[in-house]
Amino acid sequence: MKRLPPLSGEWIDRKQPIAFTFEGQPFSGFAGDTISSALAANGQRIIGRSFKYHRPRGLLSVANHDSNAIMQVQHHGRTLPNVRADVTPLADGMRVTAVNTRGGLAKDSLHLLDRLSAFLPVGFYYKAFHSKRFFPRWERLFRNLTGLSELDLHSSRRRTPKAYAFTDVLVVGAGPSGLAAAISAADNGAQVMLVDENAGPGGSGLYARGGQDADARQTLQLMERVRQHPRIQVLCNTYAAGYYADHWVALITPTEMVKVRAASVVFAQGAFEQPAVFHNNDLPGILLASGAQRLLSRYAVAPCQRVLVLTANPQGYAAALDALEHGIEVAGIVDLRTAPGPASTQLAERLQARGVPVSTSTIIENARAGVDGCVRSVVVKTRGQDDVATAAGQTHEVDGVWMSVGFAPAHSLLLQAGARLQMESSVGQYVPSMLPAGIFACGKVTGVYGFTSRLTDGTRVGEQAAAYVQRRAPKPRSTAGTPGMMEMPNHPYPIVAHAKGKNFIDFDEDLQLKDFANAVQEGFDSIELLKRYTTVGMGPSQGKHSNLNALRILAKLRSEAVGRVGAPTARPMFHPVPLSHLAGRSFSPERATQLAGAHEALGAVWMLAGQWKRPEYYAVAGLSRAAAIEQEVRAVREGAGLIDVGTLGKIEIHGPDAAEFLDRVYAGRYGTLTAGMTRYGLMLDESGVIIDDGVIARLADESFYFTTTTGNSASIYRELGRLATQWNLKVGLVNATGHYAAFNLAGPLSRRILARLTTVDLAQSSFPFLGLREGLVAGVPARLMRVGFVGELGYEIHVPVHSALHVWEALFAAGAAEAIRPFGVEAQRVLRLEKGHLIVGQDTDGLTDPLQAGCEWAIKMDKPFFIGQRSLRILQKMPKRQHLVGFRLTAPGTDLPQEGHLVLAGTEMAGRVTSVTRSPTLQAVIGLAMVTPAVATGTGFRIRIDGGREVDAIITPLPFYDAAGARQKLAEAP
Amino acid sequence: MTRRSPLADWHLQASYCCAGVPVWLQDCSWRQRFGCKGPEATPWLEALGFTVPQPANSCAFDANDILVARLGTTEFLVEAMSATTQSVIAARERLSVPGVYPVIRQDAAFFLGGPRATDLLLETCSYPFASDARSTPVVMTSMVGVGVTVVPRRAGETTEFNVWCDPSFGLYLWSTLVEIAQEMGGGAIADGQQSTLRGES
Repeated sequence: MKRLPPLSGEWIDRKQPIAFTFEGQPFSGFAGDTISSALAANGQRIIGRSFKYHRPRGLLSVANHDSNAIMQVQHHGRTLPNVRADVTPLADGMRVTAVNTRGGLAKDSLHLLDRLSAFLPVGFYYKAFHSKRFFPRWERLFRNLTGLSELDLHSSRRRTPKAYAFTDVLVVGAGPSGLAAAISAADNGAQVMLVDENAGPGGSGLYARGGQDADARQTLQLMERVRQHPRIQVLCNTYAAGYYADHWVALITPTEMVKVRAASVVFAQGAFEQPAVFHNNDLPGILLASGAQRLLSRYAVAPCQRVLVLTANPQGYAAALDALEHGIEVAGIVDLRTAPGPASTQLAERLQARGVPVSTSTIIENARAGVDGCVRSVVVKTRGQDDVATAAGQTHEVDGVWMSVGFAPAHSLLLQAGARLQMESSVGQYVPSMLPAGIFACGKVTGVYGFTSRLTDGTRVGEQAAAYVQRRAPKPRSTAGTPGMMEMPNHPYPIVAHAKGKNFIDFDEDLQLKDFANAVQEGFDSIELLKRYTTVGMGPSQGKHSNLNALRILAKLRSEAVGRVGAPTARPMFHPVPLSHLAGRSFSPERATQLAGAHEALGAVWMLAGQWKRPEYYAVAGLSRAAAIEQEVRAVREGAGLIDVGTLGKIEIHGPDAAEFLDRVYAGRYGTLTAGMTRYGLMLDESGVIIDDGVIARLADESFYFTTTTGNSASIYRELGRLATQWNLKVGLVNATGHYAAFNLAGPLSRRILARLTTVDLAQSSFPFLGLREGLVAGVPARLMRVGFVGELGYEIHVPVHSALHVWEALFAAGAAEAIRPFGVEAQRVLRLEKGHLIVGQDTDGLTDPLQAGCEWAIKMDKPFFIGQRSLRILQKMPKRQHLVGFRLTAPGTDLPQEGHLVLAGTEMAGRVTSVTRSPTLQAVIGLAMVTPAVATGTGFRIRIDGGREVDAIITPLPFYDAAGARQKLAEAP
Repeated sequence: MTRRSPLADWHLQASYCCAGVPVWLQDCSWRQRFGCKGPEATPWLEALGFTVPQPANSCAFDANDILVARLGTTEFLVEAMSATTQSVIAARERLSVPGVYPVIRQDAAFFLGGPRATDLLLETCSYPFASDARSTPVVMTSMVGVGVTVVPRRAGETTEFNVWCDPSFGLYLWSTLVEIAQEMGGGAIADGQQSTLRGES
């Protein structure tokens, strides 16, 4: 390889030399070079080792479409793994090394694996590693042998910001059709964002010249129009990695991920050139023709001195002409086809006029390596039946082979966008048969290959995209669509069998032709199974060069047309994305009540309840967690405790139909609830399953205030809004969850403490159990509810959030003499379990109805309607599947069961523990369990705890504590 | 009655930035505001002399810098953006009218500005504020995963943004935005600094 004299339009700046090293050897390049082009310019033909067999590999696509050019780079004190050399700009002082070698690229000791390949067929690990005994050994061995770059675990942590962007029309791909589409859309009034993965726009319009400059000149004119257009923004070095709903596209720039929402998207990504398959088709020096053209045109690098072009389309002939233009000797054209089309024939005449021999119905049967490991010669034979070469052959001494046998459209993003594809026989590739609204495609990805045709196609589609954004009909055109190329660009089966194999389908995973035959023979004969068994398309290049040939092989083995075997699903990100781009700031919203600082000062140990940060308990110096919680429980049972329950969902409903609305959404009756009183509410879904519970308080005739469980407030509010609209009732809903703080002041001394702060008359006669009163607490307007979740005299105090801390501190000050103390979620769980109260979502699951949960008392079946009523009527007539029961362990000193532990009836599973705790009040282990009706009607059961041990439990009536409910209705403080 | 910003704990350890920063945030939770909704909300507000915007998701400021933001067909947020608060407080206290339902508004509220404010929004929010052609929009969207209401307001050559969110998300949203602003060379400012930062006297 060598650097050519300066070329018009080359991307390098020869005035800016750059020094770098590769595998410790000094090299030089120019600004504008990529690592790959600089290595090529320095004559470095072997640039890496293959993943499995450690075969030497060279440049292939020069477009970041293959996995050969993956490097480890040290630069500015940072070690960067898995750097894509084809697209990474060369920088001064870079220290570049190949990946996946043992002892360096030249002396990779693992090259011996290539000789052992017969013992390492595809899927060998499925058969070899199933032994439990030997698996750890195998795992260690293969973890040591495999992998690409090495991570620098000491690398500094970076958070890459992400950005949102917006545009009318996003055009993906700035080749000829993409440029034309962008100009057309912008000329029609749309704001356009044009992105391309290359360092500059132009695509094949600039590098695939066929020895002529007319197309390139026209492409340059388009680029200039784009540059000057006020409505077009161009992003180069940027690729679209994934498409998501509503025209969201993830763009990967060199520094960050940009999430673009476009009103319309035009996919003009072109097509990936495909390799031919023959023995040793992976030797360094064998390139895709388009890769060689990129080196020539962009970086002025001649990849070889004497080349043989293997082709099946006009593009191969054009590449040969480009080779001649740059002084590369063309040893010949090997055309797989019997009868090349008119475009090829025309180009062949030009080549033959310059002394280049052209042969048809021929194939490269095998390539041979020289002492340097790179291609030295190829054997060309006549193509016989069943893709096997005939015996006679001709050897060509060459240092380069360029392959141009077809293309695979870059349609991964189109598929993600919901497009449907069909095999189009005239171009031999999948083309879109249906595009979703707002999605457009043009150019090679739609099977349009001719240069002029692509421009016409892009112009048409750009106008259509603008029309879609502007909600108008597209302008009429004299012709529908554009004609494709007159000659098929794709050979249907550019694959040659060889007795010695090493005819590679997938360069990422070293998959050979015979591997596919073996997989199909073993029954993996659908594309999804074949993909998983062979791992084709699962390497770093994600099948860009292997999926199409895999489909062809599978179709042939199944004796079906390619179009009938399907195509593998392309998920985002379809192209590898640096993890550093994804490792941005994590936006995980966390909710905290106004009292977070106060809790912290009191020693709160935090837990997450949904999005909420809540005190699990308050740590006390010298006390264990269990002891601290026990103290909190005792404080509530014997004196007074205060818990922050601001996390409860809080919703107001106003309007003349408010009571009617609540009667429909809750199973209880609320039309009869008098103002100033509260009532428990159970919410069901249409199948009668419990989905939420809370307390409903009537503020006035047309106003209610009710609570939901902590985790469900947002979803319940949304659902209620939907129902209010659906039922067309005169109600207004207000989600006050975050705007009201709430505390539960509980314990026999709670009335005495609260009385010091409030204007509300707390006497039992004026403010009975389940009552609601409004008044001032510590000077702040408050709603007080006498509820008894923890089973003691208690007041739920709701105040505006901005005044929460003031009231909280006032309550503590007022209760200092009574030794009031805060209690956390864990103590509350113990207290409510002693009282036998269930927690929706913990003691119930996605199938639990009120009949199973023992909540018949909370449903009013005689109401005209409520959600779930019809299902409950049916369920009432059916035998119960399970029943919630209370239990107590017979030997409280034993290990504590945990939620989810199995309930056993004999040796059969008969249920599960839903709640369990050691009760300080009762000095017993108590809990709730969902069990079969047979167990529920018995006297006890066994629970299997950790380690397979079993403990005995006896069924106990609920509640465990204060069965008469006297304590929560306490008239006067003791 | 003592009121306290949802960000009060943050302010206790705050480090405020100085004038001239490219992006700044100010805690405005202390402002007087109320919400209301219901079929009679519009005539009620108009009868009280408030300037009520007609289209949903739009807002109006009156001569006393009182904001009336129409959040839906019949839901409003009313806020005194400056020291003239009497009309807001008076209306809030009279919020007991048939067909007008009170909406408690204890929001965490921020004021965001500076030449790079839009860059901060492009990193945190997927709404195209720059291309919103409406003159007085009210935008209900998501910012770093938190539901917010945003009212952009022109201030000379730049746009400043009033942001409201549920107070329980306030600390998270504020801390996250301040962190990003600091990475951009800005940060939180204390009360009354935004005039200085704009270069006003």
